[in-house]
Amino acid sequence: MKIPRNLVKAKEKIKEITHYGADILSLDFLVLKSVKATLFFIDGMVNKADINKFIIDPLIGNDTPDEKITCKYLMENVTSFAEVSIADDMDKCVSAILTGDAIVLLDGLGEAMQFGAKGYQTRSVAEPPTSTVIKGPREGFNEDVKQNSILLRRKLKTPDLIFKMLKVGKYSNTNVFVAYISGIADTDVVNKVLSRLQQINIDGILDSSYVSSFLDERRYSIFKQIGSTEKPDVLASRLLEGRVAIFVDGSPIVLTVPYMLLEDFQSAQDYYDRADRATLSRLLRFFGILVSTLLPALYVSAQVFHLQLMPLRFLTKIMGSVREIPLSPALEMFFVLIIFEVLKESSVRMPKYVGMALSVVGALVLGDTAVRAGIVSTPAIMIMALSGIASYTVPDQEGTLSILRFIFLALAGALGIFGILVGVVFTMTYLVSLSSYGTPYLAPYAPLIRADLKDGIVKKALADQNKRPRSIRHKNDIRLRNSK
Amino acid sequence: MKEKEIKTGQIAMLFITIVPVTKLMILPTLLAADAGVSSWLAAAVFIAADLLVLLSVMTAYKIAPEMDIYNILSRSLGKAAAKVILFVYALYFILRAVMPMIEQKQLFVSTLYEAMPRFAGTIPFILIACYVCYKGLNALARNVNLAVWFVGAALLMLLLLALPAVRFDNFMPFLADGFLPIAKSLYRAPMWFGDYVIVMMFLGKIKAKNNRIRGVMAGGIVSGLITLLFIAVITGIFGILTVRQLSAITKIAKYNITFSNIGRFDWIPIIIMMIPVFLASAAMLYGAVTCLQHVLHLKNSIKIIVPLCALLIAAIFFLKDDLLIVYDLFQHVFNYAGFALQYLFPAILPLLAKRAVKKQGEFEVRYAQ
Repeated sequence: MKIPRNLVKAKEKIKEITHYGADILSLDFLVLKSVKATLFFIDGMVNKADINKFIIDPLIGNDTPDEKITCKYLMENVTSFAEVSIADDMDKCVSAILTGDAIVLLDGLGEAMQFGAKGYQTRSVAEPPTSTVIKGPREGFNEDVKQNSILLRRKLKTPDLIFKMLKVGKYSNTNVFVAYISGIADTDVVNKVLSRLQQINIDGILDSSYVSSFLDERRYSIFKQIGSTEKPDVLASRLLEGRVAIFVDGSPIVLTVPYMLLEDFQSAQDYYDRADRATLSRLLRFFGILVSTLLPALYVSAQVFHLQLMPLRFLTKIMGSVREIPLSPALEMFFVLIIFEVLKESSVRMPKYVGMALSVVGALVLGDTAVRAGIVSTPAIMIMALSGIASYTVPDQEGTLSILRFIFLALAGALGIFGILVGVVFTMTYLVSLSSYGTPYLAPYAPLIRADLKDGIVKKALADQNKRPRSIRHKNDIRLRNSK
Repeated sequence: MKEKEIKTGQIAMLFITIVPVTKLMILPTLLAADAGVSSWLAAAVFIAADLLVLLSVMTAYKIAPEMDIYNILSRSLGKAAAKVILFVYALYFILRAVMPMIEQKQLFVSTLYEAMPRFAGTIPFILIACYVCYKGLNALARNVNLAVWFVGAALLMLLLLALPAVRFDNFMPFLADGFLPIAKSLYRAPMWFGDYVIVMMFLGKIKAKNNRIRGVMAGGIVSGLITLLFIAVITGIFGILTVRQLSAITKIAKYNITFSNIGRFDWIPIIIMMIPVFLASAAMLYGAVTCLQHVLHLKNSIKIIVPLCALLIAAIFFLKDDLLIVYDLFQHVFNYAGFALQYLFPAILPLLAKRAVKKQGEFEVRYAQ
């Protein structure tokens, strides 16, 4: 929609579109003592000091110009604002106001000046709570998409780092940035991401997880299919491997595609530490996943079907503990795991000051009294604790592991070891047939890509990783030249 | 089934993963029943024959790398003959798919379970094998890529636990009754060998640099040697009593006493080794489905897999607990089919491939004219 030349009509149009919103302020003034103008902005979203100093003061001015006043003339000769452009469309003007820009409408011109005067409060750059490191950069993304893109730009100072912006969400008009390195990222993957984002037709995007569900290749899978990070250094390294990043305004979590399961075994810390230590950590994470998923199931199957698998002394201890328990081993373990999940869920939601009390009640009082009352046995509590803690060795997969734990437990309770085997083969087959934007989910192990094993569970030194991972489609293979 | 290519390395891993494991459940006892302490020799003969079969199939691949089995057969023998042959192979592969299931259930029932619900060990197995088969050759190959690490470690662990108990005098007396017991064994057990025949169903989908077959042959040799080694170890431990050791694999490890202070940690490798049993069955089902797809001219494999799955489950209901009847059939009726389908037919496959290529060339010349 074009901007009416008549200022009164233009002002009325903006007010009409924004339903005379109380938060949208306007200020009438004379530009260079000759042309009527109106400034629009949202209170609290702009930097008022900047507006006064760099927009209003120069525009009011003292001298009347010799030539005709146009937006172009004012931009070039009068204002001293860095981020300024001309808007000739009413929708663009309204959208700019709503995203925190200031708009100056001029009488008789049919165009407006758009000033990037955003000045709202954002969270400061801090270490993300979900991925802390002992050594290495500590900065993390926050909820401001522009600041996040700057954090990435500071890591990758190259013209090849490309940002593409889209607006997603009918009412939220959320800024979504797609970032990639043009010389590395595969064009098909970039286009696929852009096309999927353009197809999203939703009322509002409030967090990156909203976008993530539209980018998933299999929408109903319990397995995570899109990578995510809160750290600029991790994101930069992923872009350097050929991935594509998706920033969503309002979310500190940046999405990355393609995704493969191995990513969640790789911590930022691994790359700032010695390779052998990183290998040990990754092996422990892998072991953690197995323990978390299979330990309760193995315990139940051993107790119900395969007592002979347990060492004799261990067996007598367990039998002594479970003798008085009224529930069957499988039901007992279900009960304990459900209690654990409930405690976990409530501890996340509960205000911090009651959190301590909850952990005391949950861990000590509930656990201890349940054992004393003979409802559950001590080994079951121990297995639950081990399994629960182990799932946090790979925190991004914690939710999936919880679900799998219940599935395997059900299979073990019904069929014993054979049931666990059935579950394992099914899960393996399902996972090997998953892929994310052309990358096999379990690469580089299935299919086996030998070159990529250098950064697999066993990690080699950075100097040995002279090529980009083949698992991820990319344009440029070499990342380390003349290495010795 | 999503048709994709399988790499030669994946075929080699498939052999290493499934061949030794499927030979270690019932077969050592079966071979020992006729060949006694020379059972390893009978196994060696079979393995050598199997390797020749593999070489023959891979030669056919080298001759006609782009042709699948149906193309080779229909161009060399005609469409009707091709369909008949593939139908027979479909039945053969279905039988071969059932074998690992029966053996695995037998192993579990005789060792880990006091009582196993009637259909608990079979129906989930069939469903999973059919699921893997539905996911296709690609999923099977990738499963093998994953499983090979664990199976390799499990085989090594079991071997290390078993080796101290091997006594070389258990191999004696060597050929005391001549070759007749070995010949008897060879007559009864072919259905337990011949796994490499499945490669015929991979023809046309194999991805290899310059059509090299070394990787596949190496996989065949390694898997054969591992099988032979384990059969020899079992004989070396039990000697003439091998024939009485049903599920011998569960008794060869050093700490195989129930309720010890160490626990049965030898079961860890054995349980891991049960994973490829599902894959072995799925591979054979894949062979059956591929054959039936050609016979019935169906591109969508699900239309075959679902009825096949239902048929197998119905057969289990029909057979009730008499699954071991199938064993007798394998040893006395189907063994002839085993000889024909596993050894004779693959031996002439390179000739058929040559003929198919020649006919294809003639057709192209005629078409060009």
